[in-house]
Amino acid sequence: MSIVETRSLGLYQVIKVQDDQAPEVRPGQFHMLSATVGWGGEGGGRPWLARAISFLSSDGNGGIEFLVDGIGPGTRQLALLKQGDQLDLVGPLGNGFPELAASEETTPCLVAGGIGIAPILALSQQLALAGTEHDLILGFRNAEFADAAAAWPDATVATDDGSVGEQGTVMAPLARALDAGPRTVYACGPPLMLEAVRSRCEESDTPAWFALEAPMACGFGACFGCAVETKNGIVRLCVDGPVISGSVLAGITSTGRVDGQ
Amino acid sequence: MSVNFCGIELAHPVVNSSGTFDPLAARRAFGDAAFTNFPFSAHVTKTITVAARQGNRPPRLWEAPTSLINSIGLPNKGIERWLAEDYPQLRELPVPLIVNVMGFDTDELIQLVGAVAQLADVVAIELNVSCPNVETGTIIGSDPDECSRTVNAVRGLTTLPLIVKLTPNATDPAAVALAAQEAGADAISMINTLRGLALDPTTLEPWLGGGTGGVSGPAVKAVALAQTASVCAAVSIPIIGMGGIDSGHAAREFLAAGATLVAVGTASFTDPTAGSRISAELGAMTAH
Ligand SMILES: Cc1cc2nc3c(=O)[nH]c(=O)nc-3n(C[C@H](O)[C@H](O)[C@H](O)COP(=O)(O)OP(=O)(O)OC[C@H]3O[C@@H](n4cnc5c(N)ncnc54)[C@H](O)[C@@H]3O)c2cc1C
Ligand SMILES: Cc1cc2nc3c(=O)[nH]c(=O)nc-3n(C[C@H](O)[C@H](O)[C@H](O)COP(=O)(O)O)c2cc1C
Ligand code: FES
Repeated sequence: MSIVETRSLGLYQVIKVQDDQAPEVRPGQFHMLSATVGWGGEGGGRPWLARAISFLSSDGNGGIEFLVDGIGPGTRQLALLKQGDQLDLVGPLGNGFPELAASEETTPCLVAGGIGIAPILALSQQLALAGTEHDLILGFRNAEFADAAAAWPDATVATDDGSVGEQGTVMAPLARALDAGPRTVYACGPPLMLEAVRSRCEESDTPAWFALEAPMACGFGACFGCAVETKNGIVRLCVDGPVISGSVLAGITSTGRVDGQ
Repeated sequence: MSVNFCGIELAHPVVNSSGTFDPLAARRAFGDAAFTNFPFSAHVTKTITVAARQGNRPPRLWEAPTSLINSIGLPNKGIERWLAEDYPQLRELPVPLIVNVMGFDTDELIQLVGAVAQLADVVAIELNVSCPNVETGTIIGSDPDECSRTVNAVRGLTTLPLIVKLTPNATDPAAVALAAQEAGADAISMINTLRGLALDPTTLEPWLGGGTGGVSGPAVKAVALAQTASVCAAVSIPIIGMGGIDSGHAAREFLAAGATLVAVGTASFTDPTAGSRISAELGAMTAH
């Protein structure tokens, strides 16, 4: 599939592909992405397997956007792709965020940290189109990363160093939202943040949904590599997730990350 | 391109390798096309054990140049729930079903083979004696006498073809294959994954939850091809060759080494339709 546009969003890179046959993608779903040419090239022969990347947005006419944070050989190579380059895509995969029943008297509260903004912004766009009021809380390390938030003027932004928005983590704005009335939380971000959000929601009996990450080799249930522990046993995150209800999570830990993030 | 394997007519020689393609999950991800356009000429199930298994704790994957090291640990729902929940759906596949089982002792294996042999839509049984993640598997599959005893224990239970899946982690796979043939095995499949170790780049401790793991993918192809050729020379029963096959050309190499069928594993991970592509490439090559 051809890349029709790329642009930077803060330190992240947006990649847009055009697929007229594309099935509808739901926020929280993902694709497995690899470059058609040159994949497997960087030092050490990686990346070799495709990489899981969340759906960011669609233009309704077959144009789909992804947001990439170049943290390793795979995402770095994806971030270097240019208009006209070919991308191999498998998807959409995974369950996506559950739809909120119209009858529910709760306000969606969307919380994201770092590259976790991708599925959360997708959900925010969907809710906005449906005219559903919601909170949007985005946390970043610093101003460089937070540039991405400029495109969402209604968002409450927090940065670790206070250079943009309020200083601190997403937890303070989250607490204010939870105090303001009944909320259903939708969150994606680094495991440490997600665990803080999870335990806060558990304390206040707030329903919460988490878009989790796990190392994935296939993305469609073939390898059993993306195991995540839940109260109902180990599940394959790619087919039983990536969105998991807080009610079945005893805790969110990082697995398969060198940096423990 | 159709091929006869142990009396079973298959549309082409490309099947999936055990534990690398789950048709039920693929149907959830891709819809009914995953069934109707099934990429393989037969489906080999993931290894089924008597008791349900959660598998190894994460992380379970390590990526290396053109290879994957996995420590999955044979997660499966156990034979009872597989019979009740999965088999009724898998029999709807448009291709024959080969069931892969593993017993942790002879009694378990007898129980598994006995149960699977009753199923109307199963055409063959594959015995996993080779998984590197579970200690007993390594022992049986690397020792001719052990292997012979294992095949003997279940040979009388079924008239279905018995396929013995060999481990490459053995001094002399041909001797093990020969022992399996003499004990009444109808076919050999090989290779399972090669034992490998990945270290966390910062701590230099084992990365994988299971300690060591199994290496698969194109990096193991040369080893697999050499072992396939030596086993094919030693036995007269048919061979399912596998290990790193990701193209029609690679499939053709295993057939040239003497294999009757080839299996595709890790290549399906990046391309769910790899089986169809490889059989088409193979067809185009052999047509000339
Ligand atoms: C459902 C889902 C959605 C995602 N959405 C996005 C998204 O929208 N945008 C985005 O940028 N990212 C997203 N990710 C994360 C991304 O897929 C992973 O971070 C991916 O592994 C990055 O690949 P890489 O080659 O760049 O980095 P890697 O080198 O794979 O590094 C990622 C982590 O893998 C570990 N690692 C290092 N070496 C190896 C090795 N040899 N084998 C195995 N693991 C190793 C490291 O600990 C490192 O922390 C998503 C992940 C999931 C599961
Ligand atoms: C993730 C993964 C899971 C596997 N699970 C099983 C299994 O349950 N039973 C089995 O007999 N072999 C299993 N294997 C081994 C494969 O069937 C095959 O023998 C091996 O991967 C070599 O083929 P490949 O290089 O094409 O993947 C597994 C391999 C991988 C990569
Ligand atoms: S990534 Fe392979 S089963 Fe989930």
